[in-house]
Amino acid sequence: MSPSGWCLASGFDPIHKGWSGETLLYDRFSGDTHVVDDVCMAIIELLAKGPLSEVLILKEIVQCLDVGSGIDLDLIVQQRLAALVQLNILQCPT
Amino acid sequence: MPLARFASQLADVGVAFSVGPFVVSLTSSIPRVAEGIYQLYGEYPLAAEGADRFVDYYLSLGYGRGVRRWYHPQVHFVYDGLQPFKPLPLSQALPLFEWGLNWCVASQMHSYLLIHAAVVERNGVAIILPAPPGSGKSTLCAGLVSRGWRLFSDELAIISMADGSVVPCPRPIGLKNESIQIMRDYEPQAVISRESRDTRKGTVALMKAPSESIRRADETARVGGIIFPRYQSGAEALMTSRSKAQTGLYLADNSFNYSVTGARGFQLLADLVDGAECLEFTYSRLDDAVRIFDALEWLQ
Amino acid sequence: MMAQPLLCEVLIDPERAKGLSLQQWDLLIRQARHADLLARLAYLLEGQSGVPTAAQRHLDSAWTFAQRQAQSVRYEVASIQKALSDLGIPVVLLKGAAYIMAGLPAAPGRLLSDIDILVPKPCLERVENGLLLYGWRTTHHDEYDQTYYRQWMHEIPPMKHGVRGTVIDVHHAILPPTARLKPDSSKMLVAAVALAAEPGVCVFSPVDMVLHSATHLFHEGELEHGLRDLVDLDALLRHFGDQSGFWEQLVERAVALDLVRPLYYALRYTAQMVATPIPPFVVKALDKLGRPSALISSLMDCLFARALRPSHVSCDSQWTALARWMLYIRSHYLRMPFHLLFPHLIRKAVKKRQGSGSLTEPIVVKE
Repeated sequence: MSPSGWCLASGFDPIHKGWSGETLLYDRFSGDTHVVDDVCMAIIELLAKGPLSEVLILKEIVQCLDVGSGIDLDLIVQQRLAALVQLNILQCPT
Repeated sequence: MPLARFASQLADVGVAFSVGPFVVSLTSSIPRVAEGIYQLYGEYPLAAEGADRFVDYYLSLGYGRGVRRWYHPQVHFVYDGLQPFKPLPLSQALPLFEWGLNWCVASQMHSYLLIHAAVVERNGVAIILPAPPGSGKSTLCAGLVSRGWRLFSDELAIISMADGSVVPCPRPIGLKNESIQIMRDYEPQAVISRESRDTRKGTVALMKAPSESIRRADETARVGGIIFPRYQSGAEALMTSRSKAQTGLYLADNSFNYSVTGARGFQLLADLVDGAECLEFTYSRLDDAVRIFDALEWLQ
Repeated sequence: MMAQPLLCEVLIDPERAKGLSLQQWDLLIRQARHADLLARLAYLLEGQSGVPTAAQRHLDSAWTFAQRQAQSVRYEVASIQKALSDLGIPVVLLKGAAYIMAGLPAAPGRLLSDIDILVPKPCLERVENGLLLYGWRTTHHDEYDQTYYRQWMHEIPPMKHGVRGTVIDVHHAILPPTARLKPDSSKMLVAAVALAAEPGVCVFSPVDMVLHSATHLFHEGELEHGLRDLVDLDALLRHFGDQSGFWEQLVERAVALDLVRPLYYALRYTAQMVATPIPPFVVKALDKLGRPSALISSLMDCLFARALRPSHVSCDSQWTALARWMLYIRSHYLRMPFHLLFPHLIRKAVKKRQGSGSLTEPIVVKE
């Protein structure tokens, strides 16, 4: 477990296919299947490169997603992080 | 083969016949079973004899032992020496055969992806009809195949792991409660078995698969559409589109063996959803449904 | 002498499958399915030409299932490791899970219904609590069963995961404390070998793995899986048998652990049923150390020759059920003195009768 930030759950081994805003995702390690949105996918792809703090995740997400102003991305990312932990896809920072 | 000879062979050595991609051998000395199987499966091709015979499922339907047979007769389903279910009242012998065969395929045919859904075909294009209970899936399926659509299955979509095509396994369609009368009225020519009352699902009867579907059981088809039917009393017929990812997840949850097939199953399912029209269909009248299905653009 | 079942012929020599008629393939597939060896057969026949499509479909199906199960074992073992790693207790995987995690030749196509682990007896409570914390729940809520397990058995009641439904059997010894043989399981724990991939998780050393498999087969009384267990032993013996000093150590270890008799039977019946090569000096040594009296020996030959055949109707004679029943009683007798055993077997028989009406309904096709 990485003390430095959010990371993918150990063993997590995804394959996925996406259609306009939604992605069907399969974890070859756990055998679980999920539907996730673009923000979740962006987080997963980011963390595949290595652990990150919440601040850095947010910064990167703003760059890779085309989000209009007035949307509370901070809150959205927080919610998605929590949801991905629930799905055993992410591990919280310790 | 006349019924009397069929019944004696069924009781004696059993009868082996092809049901879509599977060869089933059935043994039973129960007259009700002989009569029902003769009526529903009489047109199915018989399996090869002797050294060339390979049977996928050895099944038998028997009375069981003991005096019970004389005051409260039951039927026991036996699969190659094992009894996976508890016995049921004798009147449910035919539905038990169908359930039992479904169980055999669903629990041990992981060389296909198996989804709980009806499948029909026209012009070489198959439509998968997955649905929750009460959606009228079997009735719609029976209606379509009475009007020229080819029956693949009313319970089990069998998807080839090799190329994603659907494999036909035309078998009797299970009709429940009021659907039985609806089909008798809709298609007076339909061959419908004796009714089994007081099953878990109420009254059940089986409608024989159309002869052409049985004859063409070796012709697979590509999947053109995945349509979720929803019967709603009084509703105007309406076709709307549905999320592909959610459709994939629904099929995964309603597959008998998706969890067994691992990454290959996922890939197959994702490609299936990707290449098919994913739709939701609300209807109340069978005639509307058939007309709208007949007119689907991507089928022409 | 009974004819060798077709399945055993093909297990011994997969080339034997060449030239089988479709009807013989039909029989082979059925025997293998009933013996829980269909996926193993798929592995042994992999790449062989001439397998008819109808048979290949069943082999592919079983192989798909086994592969998925092996993946699920890897996931479960990682979860067990997570639940128990902080306790600093050595956890030894047994049987199927051990073969899969250690990547042994006994693994491909090996099916299992639960994961068996062995932990030191003094740590049992901490292990149970650790597993409870990570979502496993105890089964057997019946007080009699709970007490029976905890007082007389070498394992606690099976624990089932609340979400995944997977089952762990936690053992503290390889035989019950009341058994006639008194192997010291702590010696086996000490000699266990750590798995590189899962820190804190171990498997038995090669000789102990063989001895445990032999003990399990000849004392647990689950002879419907008997042939499957012989196939395990065969794969283990062929694999480890090439290592220098293995056979000498095996005999020595059997003596040290009081497991000579199960080893004697294991080697005798693997050689008979699946033609496992056993060095003559080992056979001679065990004849001297572990051979039962001539009368017992011929009785056992007679019983095991029947009970170890695939549990399929084509392999059953009129004596098969009796042979399995006698060996079942024997296994209990070996595990427990008669005054304790008798009330237990009666209770089990009564419970079984009471339970026989509640088999699953045909609710398989979801509505």
